[in-house]
Amino acid sequence: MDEKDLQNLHIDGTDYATTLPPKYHRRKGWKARDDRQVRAFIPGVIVRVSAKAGGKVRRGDELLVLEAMKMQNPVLALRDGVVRAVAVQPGQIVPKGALLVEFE
Amino acid sequence: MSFFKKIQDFLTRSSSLTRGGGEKAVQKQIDSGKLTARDRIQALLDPGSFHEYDLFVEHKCQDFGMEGKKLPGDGVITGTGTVSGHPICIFAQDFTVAGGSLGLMHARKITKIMDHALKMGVPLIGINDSGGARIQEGVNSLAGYGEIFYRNTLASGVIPQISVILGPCAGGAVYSPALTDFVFVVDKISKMFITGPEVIKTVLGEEISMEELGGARVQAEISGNAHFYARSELECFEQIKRLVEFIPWNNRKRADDFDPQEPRGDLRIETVVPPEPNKPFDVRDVVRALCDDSDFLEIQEFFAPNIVIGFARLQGRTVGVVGNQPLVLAGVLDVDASDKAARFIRFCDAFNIPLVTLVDLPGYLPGVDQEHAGVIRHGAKILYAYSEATVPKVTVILRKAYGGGYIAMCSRHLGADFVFAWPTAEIAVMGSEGAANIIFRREIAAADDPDAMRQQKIQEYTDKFANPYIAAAEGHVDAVIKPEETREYLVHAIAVSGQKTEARPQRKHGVPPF
Repeated sequence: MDEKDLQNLHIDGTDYATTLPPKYHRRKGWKARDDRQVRAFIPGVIVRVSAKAGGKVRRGDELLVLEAMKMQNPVLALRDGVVRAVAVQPGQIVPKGALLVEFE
Repeated sequence: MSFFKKIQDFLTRSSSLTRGGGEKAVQKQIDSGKLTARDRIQALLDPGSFHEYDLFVEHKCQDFGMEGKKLPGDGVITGTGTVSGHPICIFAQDFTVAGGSLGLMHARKITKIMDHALKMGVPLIGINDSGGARIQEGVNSLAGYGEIFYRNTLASGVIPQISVILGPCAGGAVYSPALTDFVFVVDKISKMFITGPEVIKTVLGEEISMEELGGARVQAEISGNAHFYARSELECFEQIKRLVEFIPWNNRKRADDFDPQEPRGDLRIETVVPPEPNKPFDVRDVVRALCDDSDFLEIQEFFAPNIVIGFARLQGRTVGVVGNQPLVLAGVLDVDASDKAARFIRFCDAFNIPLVTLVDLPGYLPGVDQEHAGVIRHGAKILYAYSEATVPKVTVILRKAYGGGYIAMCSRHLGADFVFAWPTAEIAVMGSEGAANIIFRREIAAADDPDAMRQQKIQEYTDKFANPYIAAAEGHVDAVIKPEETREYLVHAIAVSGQKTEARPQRKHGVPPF
């Protein structure tokens, strides 16, 4: 054990000198969900985009179709609102969590 | 035909079959840095002990050009032999024959040797090196996998099952190893995944290499699918031999007793552990200072290293060791550590291996990622596994044992047979700093010098609670012992527990929080 590799881990008011493994460093931070942003729930390909920047949509309207695992998944508006921007176009491959559509 | 001619005929037939997929395929196997299936068996088993069965088995597939194809042994070698003198059943997939692909007869050879292992009560070793299902055989190859999984499950807890991944093991094929007790992987050779890089790329657009997706290191460190990681096939076989010597043949037997040996003298237990609860040490040094010949076979060394599990011997008898590792993440319990320890505890309980638990942890790992990953249900597995276990359970509290972590680490309350604590033990709801900040919040806030007051209250709490005597006064700790007495206490505890019986309510099976 090399003293210089040690880092502090704070638990219940105490700092423990210890090492932090790679998996600990790789964990993702948590962010509160912004419901003005529609993000890809699965990685896939954008097949069709119905939403237009500046367009008004109602809850339940189709924003776009995301194909993944051989399924065409309609992505619907979860709220009424005005589309500020569409971040993707047909044919685009998107990773999980990618921003698709942004509301005002 | 004369007797001589019949023998000649037999030799011609069998020698052609034992050459596997032919010269070219064998050369390709060797060029890719792998041994052939037959050489692997010879390298792993005791010399001359291997006896092969079902060499003449043939597939019956009539479709897609398979009708004329001869596949020697149908791509898998099965038989019996011994490893370090212990009888075992073994199968090894032969990648040189149709890529080791699994058809119905291939699978039936495997299930036949599995049935045999179960009847005879001996460990099963499976060497996996296969491109996957034999697509020409359609649903029959799926049937084959299913029949293997079913037997893996029936054999679980009855005979030890060992999987050795020496090549690709992809798609449904991965679930046989996943159902077995110990999975061995070798650097650059083992590849395990459900969906490969090609599929991931076409379906999801994510690019990743086979090695990064499901190579040996990934399985040993990140996914936790593998238990032993080796740099070469030969090192892997040495690891298997060591493991086989530590475990019994089946659940009706005990592991072999060895000649008792003292720990090697270079580690003095009283100097390994610093008395301050927030200073780290390597708990494996404590294990080595306690066990016979300081010989500790660690399992899942790279996965969830904040808890250490493995086999050692005390006075010649195999024990399963579970220890918090203060050197990594302060030894906290988290999702991975709970999964790792719980499965090991259940293996030991199934196979009559006493459990020795070394406790030094501040509690559970805080964090949104942990809560959302289900640390509640995963953490519950440790409680379940320890409570359920009826093998002798001996616990030593080295330093801190706080809160839920104290309960989880085989406390008296979960049915420990013996709980020992060192004078450095602190058995409390939490560390002194945290406790003082909560209990004396008002006094600290109202004080002229809050920091001085905080320090004073921390000291008060430490003096009163940060010791083993309150738990000992309640009988939760059986004996406070000096560190250098630990081995003697453990050996004695295991010796007097040799005939332990513990009744459990009758039931079909429990419902653990899988």
